Amino acid sequence: MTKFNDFINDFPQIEKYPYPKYTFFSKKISKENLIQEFIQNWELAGGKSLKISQKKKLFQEILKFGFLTQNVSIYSTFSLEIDSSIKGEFSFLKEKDIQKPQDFDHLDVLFVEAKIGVANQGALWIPKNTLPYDAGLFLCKYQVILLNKKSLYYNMEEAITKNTKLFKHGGYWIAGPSKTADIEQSLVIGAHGPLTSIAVLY
Amino acid sequence: MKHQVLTKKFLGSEERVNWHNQALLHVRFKRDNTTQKIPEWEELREIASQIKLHVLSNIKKYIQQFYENAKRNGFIVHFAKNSEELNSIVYQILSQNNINKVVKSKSMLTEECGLNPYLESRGIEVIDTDLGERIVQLRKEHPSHIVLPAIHLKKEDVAETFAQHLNTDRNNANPTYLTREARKHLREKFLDAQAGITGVNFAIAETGGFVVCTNEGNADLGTTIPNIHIACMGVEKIIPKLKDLSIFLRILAPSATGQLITSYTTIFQRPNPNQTVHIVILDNGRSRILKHEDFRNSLKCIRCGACLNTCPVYRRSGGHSYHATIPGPIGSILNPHRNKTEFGDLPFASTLCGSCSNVCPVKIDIHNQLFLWRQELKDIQKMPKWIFSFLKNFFSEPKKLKILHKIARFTKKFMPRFIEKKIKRNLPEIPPKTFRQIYSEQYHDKIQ
Repeated sequence: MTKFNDFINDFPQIEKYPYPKYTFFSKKISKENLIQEFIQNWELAGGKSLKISQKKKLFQEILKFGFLTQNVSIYSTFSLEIDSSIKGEFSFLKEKDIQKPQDFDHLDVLFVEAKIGVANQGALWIPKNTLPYDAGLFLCKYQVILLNKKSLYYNMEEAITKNTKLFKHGGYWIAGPSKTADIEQSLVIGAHGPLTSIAVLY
Repeated sequence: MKHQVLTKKFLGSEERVNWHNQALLHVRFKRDNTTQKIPEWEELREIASQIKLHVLSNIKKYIQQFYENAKRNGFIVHFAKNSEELNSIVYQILSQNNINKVVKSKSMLTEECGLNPYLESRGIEVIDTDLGERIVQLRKEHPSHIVLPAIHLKKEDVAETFAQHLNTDRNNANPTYLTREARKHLREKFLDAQAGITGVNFAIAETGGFVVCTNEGNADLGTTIPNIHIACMGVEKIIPKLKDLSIFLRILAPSATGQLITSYTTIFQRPNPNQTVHIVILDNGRSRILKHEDFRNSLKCIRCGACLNTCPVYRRSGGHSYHATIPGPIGSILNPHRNKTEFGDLPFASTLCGSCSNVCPVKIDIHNQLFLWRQELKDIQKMPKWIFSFLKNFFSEPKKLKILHKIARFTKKFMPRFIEKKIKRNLPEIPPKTFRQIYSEQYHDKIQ
């Protein structure tokens, strides 16, 4: 097998080009417009969105989408408050039920919190190992991603430079549900990963 | 001229050619729509181009920086001088771990190396998990486009293929139905896989991390379920800093599909718990291209496919006519480096209109390189001598050229069907007056 030095020796030294100096493309934008731009771009990517006043109202609001029934399995990376007025029992997967990535295969609904959002590309950042196995992010059918409005930035340059620690272990930029247009350029939402992806801003 | 022969085959069905042309033109328009809404688009292209040039001119330093940081992160880094070595490294990793079931996400580099047939011939099941790639894999074909591997197929073709291999309803060609069936089929493969192979979109020297972009989520499923992940990359994928990623992620998806960003952009910074991650860094002729001043710009390519979608020749001749892993304008300047005799026809598969260079997000001067290649290849691509003496005879003497024009106008006027049948397309109407006539009427001066 080729060693590093043998490998690198084949590459020539050519005329040097400097690293370009560039400034970030920031934009002055009001908080409300920032949220609007995020929602618009998230929905453009096939995602659904929701604004809630408090985190504790999340479950109640998601119920309105109709997929949260007592027959579905649910997993949440944070504690979900279920209002006493909501009747019936829901089936929650617990950490002890998840011994291997494949145990997420029958997961219907995942609740997960993003650390950062980027408005101009409609994307949310979820660091690695937010779940016991990251496969859960992609094996679930419905993905509900929560974001604190304070963590929304205009662009990725700003988001990365102000939060370098959040990138230390890697992670996932997610922009809407999985999709494909590989058959005759017809867009189909829901390829191998989630069929629905809802961004919830609080 | 293999491209010409294969194009004739593709042109067999006029309806299909028109459809293929329109489908790709649609992707080009989506790219235009998105980029026009990004005010700093041209600046982003310029910055991206400069970053890539900077990396290429300091490639040794950046390979070393990436290598050291990647090792520090816990990745196992391998170096392969050529495709045989890459295939052998991947096979060794798999055989040492007793692996015989692998899922693979889209990677033009592994196509370049012929990794699938290499592993399959050694008893390893390799499942391509990108939907388009899985379709062409089931059909035992090669991808015809670097981003849209099955763009040459109609939904009825896919329905037939799935009916044969996945036992689906052959009369149902609904794309949603077909995608859902593929989802069920591939979900089993993901759950069962012992290793995942991916390509790499960007490798960050500063952090030793790397980035993989997909829309379907297949690369993520293929790397979060099995315990072994093998990422294969060319040296040209390196970018200097994490912040540069924000530039490249803003130009990649808009150029490729007209999206603002792909659905999933994963940064691999260190292996997941209980997981081993191997990175195989490939040369395979890249160091040779870098030595060639006229052609080294082609290594800036980020494999977005924008030049394919805009190319009038690609749109009407189809990806398979390029008989190479990477088709279209970018393939026509990259492949001859691999084999001048085998791929020497490709730089001639162009109108040199320059549209490819105009849309390239990293400003590769593709049309210039095509022209340079033609000069380089003139001795290999032997044209019949009589053509040159015929052209020289007429183009060097205006009177003779005038006679040739008259013959052409006469033939088009009185024997249009004869010509159109020969060239298999309709000729435009010939204007009533020639340029010479208009010019002499307006300026009372005769052109010689």
